[in-house]
Amino acid sequence: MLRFVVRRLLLIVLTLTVVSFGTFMLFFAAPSDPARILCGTRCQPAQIEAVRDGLGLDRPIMTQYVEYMGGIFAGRTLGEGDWAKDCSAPCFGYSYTQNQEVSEIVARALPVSASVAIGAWIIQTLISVSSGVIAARKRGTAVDRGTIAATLIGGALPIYFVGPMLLLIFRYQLEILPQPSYTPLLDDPLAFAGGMIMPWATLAIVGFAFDARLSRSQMLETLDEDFIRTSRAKGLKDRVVFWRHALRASATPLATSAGLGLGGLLGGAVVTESIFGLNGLGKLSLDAITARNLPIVMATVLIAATFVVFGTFIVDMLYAAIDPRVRLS
Amino acid sequence: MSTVTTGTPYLEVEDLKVHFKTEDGIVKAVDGVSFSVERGKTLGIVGESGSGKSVTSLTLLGLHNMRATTVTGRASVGGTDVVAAPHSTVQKMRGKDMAMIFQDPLTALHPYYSIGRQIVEAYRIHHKVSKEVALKRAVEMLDRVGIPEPQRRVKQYPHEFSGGMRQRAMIAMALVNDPDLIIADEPTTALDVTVQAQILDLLGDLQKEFNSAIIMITHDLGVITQIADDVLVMYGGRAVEKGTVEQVLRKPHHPYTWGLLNSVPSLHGDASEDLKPIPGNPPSLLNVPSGCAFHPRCAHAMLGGDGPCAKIRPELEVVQGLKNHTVACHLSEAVRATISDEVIEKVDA
Ligand SMILES: Nc1ncnc2c1ncn2[C@@H]1O[C@H](COP(=O)(O)OP(=O)(O)OP(=O)(O)O)[C@@H](O)[C@H]1O
Ligand code: SF4
Ligand SMILES: [Mg+2]
Repeated sequence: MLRFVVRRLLLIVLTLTVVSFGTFMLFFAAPSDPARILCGTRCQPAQIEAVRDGLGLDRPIMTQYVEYMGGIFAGRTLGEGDWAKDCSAPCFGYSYTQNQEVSEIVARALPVSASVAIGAWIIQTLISVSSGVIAARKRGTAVDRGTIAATLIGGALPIYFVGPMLLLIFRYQLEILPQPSYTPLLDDPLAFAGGMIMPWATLAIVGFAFDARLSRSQMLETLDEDFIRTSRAKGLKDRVVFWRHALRASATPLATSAGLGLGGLLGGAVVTESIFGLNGLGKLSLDAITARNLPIVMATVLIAATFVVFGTFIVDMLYAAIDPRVRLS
Repeated sequence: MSTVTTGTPYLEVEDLKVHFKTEDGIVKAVDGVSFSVERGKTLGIVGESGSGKSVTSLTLLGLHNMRATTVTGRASVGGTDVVAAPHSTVQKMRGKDMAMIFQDPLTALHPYYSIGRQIVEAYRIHHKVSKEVALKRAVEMLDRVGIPEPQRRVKQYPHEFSGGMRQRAMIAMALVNDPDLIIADEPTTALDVTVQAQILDLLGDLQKEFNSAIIMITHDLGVITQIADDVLVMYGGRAVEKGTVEQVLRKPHHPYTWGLLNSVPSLHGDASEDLKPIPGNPPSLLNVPSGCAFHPRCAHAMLGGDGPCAKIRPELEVVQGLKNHTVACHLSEAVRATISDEVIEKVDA
């Protein structure tokens, strides 16, 4: 088990190195000139040259990359001479347009996105897995058909329809929900949940269909397995066969799908944030891309990648915990 | 265990029919089969793939696919007609009155539960005992079926067992409640020959010990010779020949049985050039041939003119006054007796 964990962690390091290097190359090989953007529109060529020198943008890309990565773990001094700036770990660079360290900007946006994505993920997983499994148990009944219909509708609705609809109905028509906003969970749990409920509901409505259908078909597939027939042949009640043997056997694929769903929710969170006017990573990265604010784009890509990679890691660990065959190999 | 060995058989099946309604039509998987098995006896059921062997046995335990399925006839297990009995009654009989051993022990055991846990669960369905007591019983059973180091093995998962050991574990689980009727559906097909012989020996020993009735489903006449007392030969969802092993394998009276015997590699001698598989394919159960279902493949079929083989379905009839040997064929008894001798002579050569 320990070797298994170590192997997965090494794989994570490798993946993140590749992703970070790739992104770095991509942005710095891009035709836009970071020094020009940083300097502002009224800069003279000589001034731009000075900025480039000061930031070390004229040095080989490899050197810059190593310094950048080093800064994340150990902090660094950005630029030279007049431009010199102390940036403590984790240093993702400095945003000259906002006159702030990137890490500070990101630290403000990250909890917002994490709250939207993780909260929606928990709600979505609970709803989708339980409705799918119950539909399988009640196969062919009205409950089953109702669930299938709901997934068809939910799966067809886009976020930018559901979000505004919820806002319209619950905020403006019925006036029972507050305007979505971010309050730190520990400051005021109620305000936190109240402010998040519409983004969560939006993502859950749009996203539950996939996992619900998967859970249903997964359960039905498991019910056709030989070992399910064996457990019935032993004399177990159908109820026990379903809720113990079949559910246990379906747990692995369901956990995998749910875990991977977290990555997908990040994408949805970006759109949802902009609909509800929340200042999360989504809005941050969109704004940064428009403004060609490279340090911020770079930081958000890295954070998103880390999120996805660790999500997969957690799924793998879950896998090992519930599947004796994985655990041993 | 009850000591009744004569009188009413433990299992009595009468005119059992299992029809599946499908999009393409009605699949008559089992179409009027009758047989019985006494305690302490083994009935072998042979037939090609798709002849309805598994459906017959699954129906007895109520494990067949219930969707769009019609089951008629009577199947009395220890006095209870499982065809007519409510679902809950049949469910309570499973494991105790009748148990099943499946073909592929890898897919038939739950991959995520230890062997011990699966046996403990099976035992506690029918015995109100603590997990510790049940675990002791599981270890005992593993020991009984010849699994070495049962104390350690009981904690392992199916994938940690070899094929033969897995099938032993499956047998231990099926027998943990001393079932009166054991149905083994090709229990050795997935195993190699030596292991196969060991498993059959084990089943034979356990049967003596527990005095249970056994149904052994197989493709393999060798298995029948080794373990069965009686044989039922199935073709296209029906019984075509029935009798003791001695009668059916030494004095076969049905052309299909002849075909089966001819296609078995001889145990003594190198008669591989004489090996003749039955020509053609098993019939589609959606559209069983008229008259005798075997007629399109039968070398002796009487088809032209007044020939009855494609027109009239032969019923099982007693052979040569031997009351328990029956056969369904239009050939005259004298003709069958002559050919039978020739076939056996060739098989023995
Ligand atoms: N639920 C079902 N619906 C429709 N047809 C079915 C169903 N179950 C079984 N059958 C059909 O019934 C026939 C008999 O199947 P069965 O499994 O009893 O054959 P078998 O004699 O056990 O063959 P094998 O030796 O391959 O195990 C097959 O043609 C099969 O396709
Ligand atoms: S009834 Fe006719 S076709 Fe059928 S087995 Fe006998 S001889 Fe062959
Ligand atoms: Mg079968």
